[in-house]
Order: sequence, then structure tokens, then C-alpha cells
Amino acid sequence: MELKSKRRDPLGELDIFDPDTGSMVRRGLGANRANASPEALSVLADETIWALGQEVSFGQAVAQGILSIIQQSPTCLQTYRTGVRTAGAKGPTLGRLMAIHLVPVLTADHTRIRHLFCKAFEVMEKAGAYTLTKPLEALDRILHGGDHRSAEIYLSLLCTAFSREMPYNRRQQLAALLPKAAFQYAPAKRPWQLSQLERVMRVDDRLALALMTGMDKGLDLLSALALSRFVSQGLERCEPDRQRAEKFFALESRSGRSVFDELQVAASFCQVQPQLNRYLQARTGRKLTVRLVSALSMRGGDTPFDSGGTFSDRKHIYLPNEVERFETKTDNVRVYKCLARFEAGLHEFGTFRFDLERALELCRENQQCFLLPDPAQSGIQPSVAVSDLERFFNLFPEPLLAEDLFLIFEHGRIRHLLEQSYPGLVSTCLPMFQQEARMLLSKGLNRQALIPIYARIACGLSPEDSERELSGESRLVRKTAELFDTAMQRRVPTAETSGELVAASYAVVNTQLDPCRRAAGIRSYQPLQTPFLRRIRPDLHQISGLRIERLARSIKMHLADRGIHIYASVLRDYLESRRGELGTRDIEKILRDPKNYTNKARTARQPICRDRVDVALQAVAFGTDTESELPAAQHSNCPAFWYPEWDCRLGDYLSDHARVLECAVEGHASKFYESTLIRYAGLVQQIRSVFELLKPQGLKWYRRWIEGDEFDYHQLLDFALDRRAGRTPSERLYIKRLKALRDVAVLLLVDLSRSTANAVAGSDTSVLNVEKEAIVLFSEALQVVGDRYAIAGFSGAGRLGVEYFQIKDFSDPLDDDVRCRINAMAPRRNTRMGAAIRHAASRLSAETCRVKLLIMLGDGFPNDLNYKKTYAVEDTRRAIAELRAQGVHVHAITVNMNPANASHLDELFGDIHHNLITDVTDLPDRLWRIYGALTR
Amino acid sequence: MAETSAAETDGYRIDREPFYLPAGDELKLFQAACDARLPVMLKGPTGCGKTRFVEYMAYRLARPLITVSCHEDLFASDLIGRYLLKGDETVWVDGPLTRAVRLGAICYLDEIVEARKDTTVVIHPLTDHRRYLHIERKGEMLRAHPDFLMVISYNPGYQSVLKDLKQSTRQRFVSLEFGYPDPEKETRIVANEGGVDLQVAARLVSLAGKIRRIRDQGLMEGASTRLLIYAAKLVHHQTPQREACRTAISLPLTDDRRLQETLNDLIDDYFAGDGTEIKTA
Repeated sequence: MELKSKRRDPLGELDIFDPDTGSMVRRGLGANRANASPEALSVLADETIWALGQEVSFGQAVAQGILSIIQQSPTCLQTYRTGVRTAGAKGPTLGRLMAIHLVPVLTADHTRIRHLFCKAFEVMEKAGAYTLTKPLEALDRILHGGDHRSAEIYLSLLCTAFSREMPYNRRQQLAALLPKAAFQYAPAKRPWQLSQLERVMRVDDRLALALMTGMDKGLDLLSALALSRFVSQGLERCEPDRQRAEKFFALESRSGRSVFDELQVAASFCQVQPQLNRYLQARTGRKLTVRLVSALSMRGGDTPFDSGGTFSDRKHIYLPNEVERFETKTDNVRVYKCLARFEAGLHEFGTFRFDLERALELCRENQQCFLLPDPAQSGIQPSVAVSDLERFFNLFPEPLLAEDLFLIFEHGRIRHLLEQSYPGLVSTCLPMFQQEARMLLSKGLNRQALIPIYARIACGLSPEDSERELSGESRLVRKTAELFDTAMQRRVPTAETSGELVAASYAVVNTQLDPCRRAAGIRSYQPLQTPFLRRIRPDLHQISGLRIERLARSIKMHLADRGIHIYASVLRDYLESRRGELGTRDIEKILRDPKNYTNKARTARQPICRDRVDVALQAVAFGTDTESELPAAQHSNCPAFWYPEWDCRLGDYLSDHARVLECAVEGHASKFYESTLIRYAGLVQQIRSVFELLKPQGLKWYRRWIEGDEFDYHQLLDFALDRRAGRTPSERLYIKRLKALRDVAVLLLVDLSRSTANAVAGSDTSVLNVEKEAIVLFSEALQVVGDRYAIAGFSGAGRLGVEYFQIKDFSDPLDDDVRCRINAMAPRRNTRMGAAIRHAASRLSAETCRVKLLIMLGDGFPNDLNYKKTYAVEDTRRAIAELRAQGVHVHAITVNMNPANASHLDELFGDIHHNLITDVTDLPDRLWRIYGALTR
Repeated sequence: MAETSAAETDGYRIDREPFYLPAGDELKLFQAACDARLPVMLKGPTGCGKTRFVEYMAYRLARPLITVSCHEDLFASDLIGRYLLKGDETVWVDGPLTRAVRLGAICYLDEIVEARKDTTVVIHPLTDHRRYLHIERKGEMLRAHPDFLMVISYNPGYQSVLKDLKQSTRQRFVSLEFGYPDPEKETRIVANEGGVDLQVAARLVSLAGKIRRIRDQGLMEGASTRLLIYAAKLVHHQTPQREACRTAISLPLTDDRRLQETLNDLIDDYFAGDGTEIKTA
């Protein structure tokens, strides 16, 4: 009997039982088959066959499970077997869950987790098998991330939660929310966040649900201690009144909010983002905004700085997710502000305008002791993706050291320039950087020998401060600082000056650092650690502007071929400011300034001939838009209207080019309108009173009437005077108050493009939903003031399919139909603005009011198939101009747009005819105000 | 036309040369318009120097200047004049416009769009080739003094569509456009008017430049030169610089707290650490 079992072929048996599973197992085993013990194989086959006997999916899960742990110890296999058997005895569904989720638990090899898992499984199974699926999936993911501590607490939380008595609905809710929460929390904070959740759960599950809501609203920003204090305070409130505590935890009560505000010390990116963006726009006047470091897709994680820190590319300053460096929130917000302010300096003072050619010329002029090879002599055309700065660093034997030195001198240069232009900025922000630098200094120097130099030059620490901690290197620090100070005094320093300083100091620093490094036993170069991990990332900057770079290099090359030598950085700047288009006249302008010539040109002294420039520019090919036109959507039974479109390339109209289809809107009933009114009850009240006030203003006084409400004293006086003078007095002695007709017709044209479906930052509602709320309030306001108004939406795809949705016509009363149609407004496709405006104009022209107004509400620029950029902007501008010529006032409101693009809105609508509302949630409060101001 | 006596015009003469730095060729243009007896419209944002320019021109041309600030309740009779009782006599009293027409003064109607539409119509015959003023109550047709000049100011940034200038009014004027002066000139203006040194003035001007960049973030208009001068004056009167800027620039410009914070951040870039720490609410 025994002999027989030894010769047994378990996999063969499995094949006979179920060939599909058998082949799956063979595939899964693959190369491991030789390593797997015969016992393990027979367990695999036996258990799988047993499970297959119950249900196919159960059997396959078991097979998969055993395959994943087949390399583990026999005890482990035994535990798995027992676990699955016990669960499987209660039914294949439970068995399958166990078969799947026991695997990561066993792989984690952690006794307590295993124990807790069994307990939790039992508890949840009792509570109802439906509670198992999602929570266990989340456990898998946590364990997969290697976070054993969180897994432990999470399991214990599950035990506590599901051993409580509660109604079915709530249990279901918990089964959905607990795993979601556990996975959402940041791994670093997850353990203590979950344990606080458990603490609350022990008291009351409803409170735990409230706490999870609160976490979504910002409680996750609290530190461990702060969260624990918050929970304690909440639990104290629970004693007398559970509902109060619920509101407290969900941050719905005022006391909850205020305790949270008190305890919160971390500043989060979302809180400071709009503020910083506005600041950067004002400060630099460029398209520069802040962005999360995590928004940057990592490319291989080549340096430790990819995981955090502060740096810039062409359009963004990357900042950390949250700052919790200091004890108060104000200080942490200040960290963000200081970082943004200093980083803005890099953009303002041209760090990324570094020109390799110019830097090398500068080095040679000043006879730098370090001899740099001339990259031009190598004859290799460098890749466009490699920036001038990187190419410069690569000239040195140790590029990373050169990069760090550049960082030191460049940050020093920016500090120097900031001190001159913005003394207030430096006096408020620099101390913070100095404090950080001191902290880094005190941490020990063996690994980071450049820190004292950084502290001295970039942070401006006094010699005493930066040299206190070191003895041997103080001479190096002093010498480098002297070198830097002299360079800063010489003239206005540029990024190339920093490059020159790198070349001047590289050799000395390298020889001094070498013994240091050897003493510490470090072979490879360790990059410098700066306060708040600030770095200069020329690579990112380069990648975000490849098109410009390619053009600049190509123009430079073609010009050089024709004997015209100018710096690439000059071309780059021009191209950037002209949005990638450069003409002969621009080049001529560049050529007029001798500073733009390279040394080569100065020696060659060739006269510049316009023809050569022209030929060079022609040689540079520009890309064209090649998108094909899609067939227009099928709208067979909508009334169609044809409109011309302005083609700026032709300088003429294309007649009957765009077809506008007036689509019927199927309204659908919902509580949206009413709930908006309720949500904004306070505001609605205010709107009503403000617009009531607008109305009496419309009650005009008419003087010199024959009959009226009261005497006009001016006229009475004249009457008396005339009588005395013997003239016939006028009988027009009265003032009459008449309701002046606010003879206004307004059409609100709403852009329903796809982008309006985007979620509003920090909430789960969409841009369009907020717009709709604004429309509700707007209608309320107009209802009060009594102006004639219409609401319409537009979208579409292609020139033949522009859709125009009539939500409310001028003559429609604001009834349930209209309300339903407002509800039904939904994001559609593109934005062919010109045609929609022309159609709106035809609607408005039918109105007889004296003042006609078109308000456009949108979230971006016109964009459709073959309707892009300049073409689209020009056509829209044209359409607006046509309207203005007809005496219709046009005003645009743009929401949710990056303020950096706002200058283009001036081009589109004219600088006083539009409003930009960066934060769309302000719209409901702003729309009616803007209308009020427009018709004041 | 009778020569006007010196006594009549005394009150309207500008005795001391007002400080004005020309930004372009507006002096020449104004002079030319004046010689050709063409009415002038000054367009520009608030506080950029329109009124000062008129004062300066009045001084240069040695003409009396009569200024009327327009408002909603300004009637034609307020401009033209009316009869008054003096004892048993009825006496005609000229309004500012009539006075200017008689004296050959410059009549400056500030913020003309604020006036009632029917009021603006009375200036029509004065502002074309006819150059007369019809005084209905007296039945007088008053021919304008050869030196009479009509100047109006108008702020296009004023957004109400109901208060736009009528074409019939617009097209009676030649227009000079005013903007904020370039930084170097603005610095000299702020230093001179506000009584601060050039360095502080330069910082104020640079600050204003930054604020003007975010006009469309909710500011109706950017920081005007006038506000900068106010800030400078406060500094001149021993107010710490940062506080002066907040009081004279950030608070008047907007009521929006978030926007104020940005403005204060910008102010801090230049003026923080001048010895005053201000508690922010």
C-alpha cells in the first residue's frame, strides 16, 4: 500500500479529474516542479481535487493558493490545508475566500497576523459572508505592500467592527468603507490612523463611520498625537450625546471644525495651491504654477530626489504633498510660501536660460584653471533631450559633483539677486533655510562635506555659523565663499557666472573632498543634501520644452551654416515668448544687439544679409495640424442653421461653413434645483435683497412733470422767480417716480464641452454641476429683477455638428420644464465657439430690448476638430466683434482655468470683457454679482 | 466777445506748476487739439493721472480750469445755471459750464459716464463746429469764448453695460489714452509726489507691476499710481513701509481675503522686516 502511494502520480490524478485545472497547475508549477517535494505535490492534488468536487472556482483557487506557497515549509502548507478545509466545510464560497486570502497571510510569515486573520475571518463569517470579500482584498493589498504593522491593526479593527451588533445596512456600509479607508490612508500614517479608528469603533460603529467621513475631509492631515487628542475630545462628547459626537467626528459641527483647526499643524498642498498660483502669476508674470511632486511620473527613480523635494520644470514648481516640519500650521504654510518664492527666483533670474556656449566663453575669458574640453570639437550632435546644463556637467570627470557645485553657486546667486530686488522676501524666508542648514550641519559632516559650503553661499550663513562645526575644511569654505563674493560683485551675475564658478572651484573642491570621502569609506559620490531637498532639475525643464529646443537648435544650425552665429539661448527665449514662431523680423531684432553674438561671430565679423536669414528660416520646417475631420453626428430631426466661419489664414469668411443644430433637451426631473436653493439658502436670501435693491434704483425720478408724486423744489423756485419777473411760469412742477424699464435682455451661453465633467479639486462634484448651481442662483436673481433672459448650452463635434441646446428661451417662464432642463444639462463634446455665438446672436437679435447682453460661461478656449489655437481664437474673436457691431454686449466668464493662461483670454474677449474665476466653487457666488455689476 | 476780467477767472487759475511727467506725446496732441478747438476725451484707468494732466495743461496754457465731477443726479441746470432770488430780485447764476464758456476756461467733466444721459446732450452743440451753449431759461444763445475747451474723462474699465457713452457723444471728441506710466517714470512720480526716496518708490512701482498682472483674478483694476503715492505719503509720515502698503494698497483694492493674502505676500517680498511685524487676522 505504502509503496503504491510512493509511486503515485498526483498530477496525473488531477489531470484525470479535471484536465483544465491540471494543465493550469502544470503551467503554474513550471520550473519549480523539480523543487517541489512529492508530499507537497500530493497535497496540491488532493486538496484541489477535493475542492473541485465542491465547485470549480473553489478548486482553482485552492490550486493557485497552494502553488504560491509550495516553496514554503510543510507546516505552512499544513496550516493552509487546515484553514481551507475548515472554511470549505461551510461551503465553497467561504472556502474559496479562505483559499485566496490565506496565501498573503502565510507568505507574510507573522504569527500574530496569522492569528488575527483566523479570528477576523471567523468573526466576519458570523456577521455574514458578504462582509468578507472587500475587506480581505484590502488586506491583500496592504500585505503586498509589506506593511505588517498596518495589517495587524487593520485585522484587529475588522474583528472589533464585525463583532458588534448592528443592522444589516450599516454592516454592509462598514464592509465597503473600512477597506477603502485602509487603502486610502498614506502608508506612513496608516498604523496610527487605523488604531484611532479602532479605538472609536470599540465605543460605537456610527462614530467610526463619522470619523471616516472626517478623515476624508482633512483629519488625515493630523499628526499621530493630534489625531489621538481629537479622538479623545470626540469620545468625551459621546458620553452625553452620541449625535453630537458624530457631527464632531465628521467635522460637521462648529466645535469639531475648531478643534481640528487648532490641532492641525500640517499644511497640505491643496490648501496653499490657489494662493501660490496667484502669487507666482503676479511675481513672474509667466505661466508658472505649483504642482505636486507625486504628479510627476517617475522615470526609473534614478536619484533619491525623485521621491520628494522641490524643483521646477518649465511650467511648474513641484512641491511636497504636505509639510509638517514645524509645530504650527502657520509656520508650515510659510514653508510652502518660502519654497515657492525662492523657486520663482530661478525662473525670474534665468537659471534655465543657461547657455553652454556662453558659459564656456566666459570660462575661457577668465582663464579658468580647470581646462574644459570643447564639446563642439567632438563633432557629435547632442540629443535635444539633454539640456545645456547637463552637457556642461558632463564635461567634468565627476558630473554629480559639478552639478552640486552649480546648485550651490546658483542658489547663492539667486539669494544675492533676491536680496537686491526683494529685501523683504529674503528677510522673511532666508532664516528658515538657514535654520534647516544649521540642522543639516549639526547632523555630521563625513558624508556631506559640501553642506558647509552650501550653508555659507546659498543660505548666507555667517562664517562663524558655517565653520563652527568643522576644523579642517574651513579654509575650503572660506576660499569658495570669497570666490563667490568676488564674482557677485563684478557685474550682474547670470547663470553662466555660476557655471564659471563651478569651473573655477571644481579642482580644489575635488582634491579636498577626496581624502574626506576615503576616510568615510564611500566610493561613489554622494549627492549633496540641501534644506527641503531643493534641487535644480535641468532635465525636467528640458523635457517640458522639447519643441522649442528643437526649433532653436535647428534655427541656430541653419543660421550658423550661413555664417550667422548667435546664442541658442537667445533664440530659445524669443521662441518661447512668441509661442514657437519666429520670423525674419525677430531674427533681425536679435541681430541688432551685439550681445547676442557668439565669440565666433565676433571674430568672423560677417555682415548680415536678410536673404540668408530668410533662407535659414525657410529651411526650418514647422509642424502642421493634420487631424482629419470626422463625419458629423446624426441629428436628423433637429432644425439646422448655417453660419459662416472666419478663416484667419485666408483673411476671409468661409460661407455656410458651420452647421448649428438646435437640439431639443429632454428634461429630467430631480431635486437638483430645489436642493441647490436649499443649500444656498443664505445666499439666495442675499441675492434677492441685492436685486430688490437694483430694482428701486430702476425706479427713476422724472423731474418737470405736469402731475406727479411730489413737488420739484427747483421748479417751484423757478415758478416763483418767473412770476416775479413777469414771465409765464412753467406748469411742470412735479416729480414723478416711474418704474424705469430695465430694458435688458440677457442670454447666458454655457459651454458644455467634455472638460466640464472634470471633478472640482477637493470634492467629488463636477465643474458643470457647480456651473449649474450658479445658473440656478442666476435665474433666481433675474426672476427678482425682472430682466428678460434665456439660457442655452452648446457643444458638438466638427463643423457640421455644432449642438445648441435651448434650456430657457426669452419667452419661457421659469417653470418646472425649464428646471428639469437645467437638471438635464450634461457634458458633451467639443467647443466650436464661433458658430455657437453666431447662433446666440441670431436669438438675441429677435429681442427688442434696448440693452442686449450675451454672457458666456466656459472653462477654456475654443477647440474642435480643425478648429484649434489661432484659427479658433480668431474666429471666436470675429464672432464677438460681429456681435458688438450689432450693439450686443459680450461678457465672458471662464472658470477652472489655470490663471497663467489668462492673458490669452484678453486676446479672445478683450481685457475688460471677461472674468476669470480660478476656483469654480466661487462661481455660484460670483455669477450673479458679475451680472449685477454689469447692469448696475 | 468781451475780454474776461482777471478777477473773474482768479478762482480758477492754477498758480503753481503741478508736477506732471509726460508719458508720450500727449502734451503735443493736447496742444494741437486745443489750437484746433477740438474737445478732448481722456481715457484711462482710475488714478493714472488724467486729472493731473488737465491741471498741468491748464497751467501751461494759462487758462482757468473748471472741474465738474459728474454723478447720477447731475441735471442740465446744474451745469448751465439757474435763477435765484436775491431780496426782491431774481438773479441769474451761471453754472460751471456756462461760466467756462464765458470765461474761455477749460471745462473738465470728470467721469462723464456717471452723469445722466439727458445731461450729456447739452454739451453736444458745444463740442462740434457750432460751439455755442443754449441757455433755455434765459433764451440765450451763448457763443463760446475762443479759448473755451471741453475735456471729459472716461474709464473704459468701468464695467456696467448700461452706462456706456453714447456714440453721438463719443464721436464728438478726440481721445487721448492714458495708462500707468512706465516704471522709471512712475518711480519718479511716486518719489516726487509721495516724498520718499527713489529706492522705496522703485519698490512700490515694482510691486504695483506685479499686482497689475493679476488684475483678472478678481481685482477690478490694478493698483493705480495714486494708491502708490498714498502709500509713499504714509511712509513719508513715518508709517512703517509694510503697514503703509497694506493700508494704502492691499485693503483699498479688494475685499476678498484670499486675494488680500496674495497682495500681502507680494508686499512682504519687498517690505517685510523693516522693523514692523503686523499681526494678521
